[in-house]
Amino acid sequence: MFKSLGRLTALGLLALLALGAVTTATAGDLQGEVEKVGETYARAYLAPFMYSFGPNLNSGIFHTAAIPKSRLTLDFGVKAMGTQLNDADKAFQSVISGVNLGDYDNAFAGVTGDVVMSGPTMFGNTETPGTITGYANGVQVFSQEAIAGVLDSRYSPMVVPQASLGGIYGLRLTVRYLPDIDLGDIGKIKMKGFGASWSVNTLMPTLPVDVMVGYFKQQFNVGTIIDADASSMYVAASRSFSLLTLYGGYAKEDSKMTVAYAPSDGSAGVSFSVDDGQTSRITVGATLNVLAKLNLEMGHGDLTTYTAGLLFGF
Amino acid sequence: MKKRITPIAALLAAALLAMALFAAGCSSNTTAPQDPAPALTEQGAATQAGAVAFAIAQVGPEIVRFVGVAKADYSHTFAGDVAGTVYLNYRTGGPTGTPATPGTGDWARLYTAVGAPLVATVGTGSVTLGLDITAVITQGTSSAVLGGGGTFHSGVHTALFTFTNLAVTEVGNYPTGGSMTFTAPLFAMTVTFDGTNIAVIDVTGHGQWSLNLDTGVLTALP
Repeated sequence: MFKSLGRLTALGLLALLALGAVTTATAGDLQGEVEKVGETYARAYLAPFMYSFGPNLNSGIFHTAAIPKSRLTLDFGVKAMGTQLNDADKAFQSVISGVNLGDYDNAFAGVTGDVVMSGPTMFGNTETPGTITGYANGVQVFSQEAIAGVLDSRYSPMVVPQASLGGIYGLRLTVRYLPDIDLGDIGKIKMKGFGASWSVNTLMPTLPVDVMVGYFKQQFNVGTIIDADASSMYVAASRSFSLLTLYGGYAKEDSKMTVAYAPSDGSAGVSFSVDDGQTSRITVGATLNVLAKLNLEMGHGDLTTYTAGLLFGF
Repeated sequence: MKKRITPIAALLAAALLAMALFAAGCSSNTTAPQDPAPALTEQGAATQAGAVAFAIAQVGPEIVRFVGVAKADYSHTFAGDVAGTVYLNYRTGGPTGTPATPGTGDWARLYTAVGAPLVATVGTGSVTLGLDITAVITQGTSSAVLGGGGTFHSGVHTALFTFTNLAVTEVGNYPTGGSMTFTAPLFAMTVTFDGTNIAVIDVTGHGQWSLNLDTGVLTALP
């Protein structure tokens, strides 16, 4: 028992260290880049990140619908999620028509024209920066270099530590928690999430499969630049075949992310939110229980998210 | 709710399910904005055509002004409102004739290298032009009639243009006749030259503009 707990602690620490290192580097790079551009550019640049963050958070909340009525269960480990991005999301193009070009280049104050912002998103090419180009009467009059991608990937990744305690009156409590990680100038990363699932089989023990319903709520902050929350209300069913559990579910979910920063050119602070992202999903997955629980899952709504979990426990 | 299966069967089933999940490959919706290029106005379309006409008035006559010793391909570099390098090839007996010098050829080709277009500055804006022009030269009068055409780029805007019987001379500052057809999304334009410093741009169905070939200034005609 103590040996197992020692392994669990080591695994947890390793996961947190990896998560901290990755998040620190990414958040630092991201803030450094985004501060160089204004709101319109930042909105488009961050869109795949902001729209995939909620679906990532709302993934991997469960890996079985079986909750004993009165036998204690505990598992602890990490869930790694990756929301698959559409091919087109590696780049963007935003057009603003009929604006004062002087807002973007002082040399064109009073000239009305179009501005085209284009280039890689946060998950696009990390070598080639985007551009902000002004047009007057169909002819390019200025072009400014903007920012490159931070992570060239078709997946928006996330790793979260997770623990569950179940088997009390058919209830299971699940927690996601990250101790504060200080990122210096950026501030602290904070994450916490909690929720509960309840086994319908406690009332209907003759059901041919395990069925549960549940709710999960999470909050995530990176200093003052990112403030995100997500919630999911779900129903799931599973069936176990000795070592293998197959499961599926449906969830109504919600998420919101606000990004706030001060542009490095000294202009007024920028703040914007995405709160009209994915609202529902279906989930299918499998959990293999051989020493540890290895879990694979796909969630599909507006976006498709793949999740892998490694959990220890009993 | 447990039924017994072997570990190998369980692993196989897990692997198959994992493969099925990825194979299902339910794609994600697009989240980043993908706006189309800004729509051109009539004035914008005329400005683009004017930029090409302004440039060709400077570049075209080079076919009959160029002087050089015998070699396969000549080059000339422009500087100023129109900047960049064009290459010239002279022949006697038409495009399939024998190589010639600028002083003897009756046919010529003027072109820009791939990836190295001319840059024309018009007012505060700039456009790039890829050219591939052919010319029938009359040596006795040091004049030529140009055909061919090229490509226009200015950021997200692109267009094609062709020349029809565009007449240039060694001494004249402006094309003495002929026209250019400029085809941009939504608009088709014809620019006509008459030997003066004013060319007329007709945007089909949308009015006319005059172009000052010395300054590049465009003026809407009533």
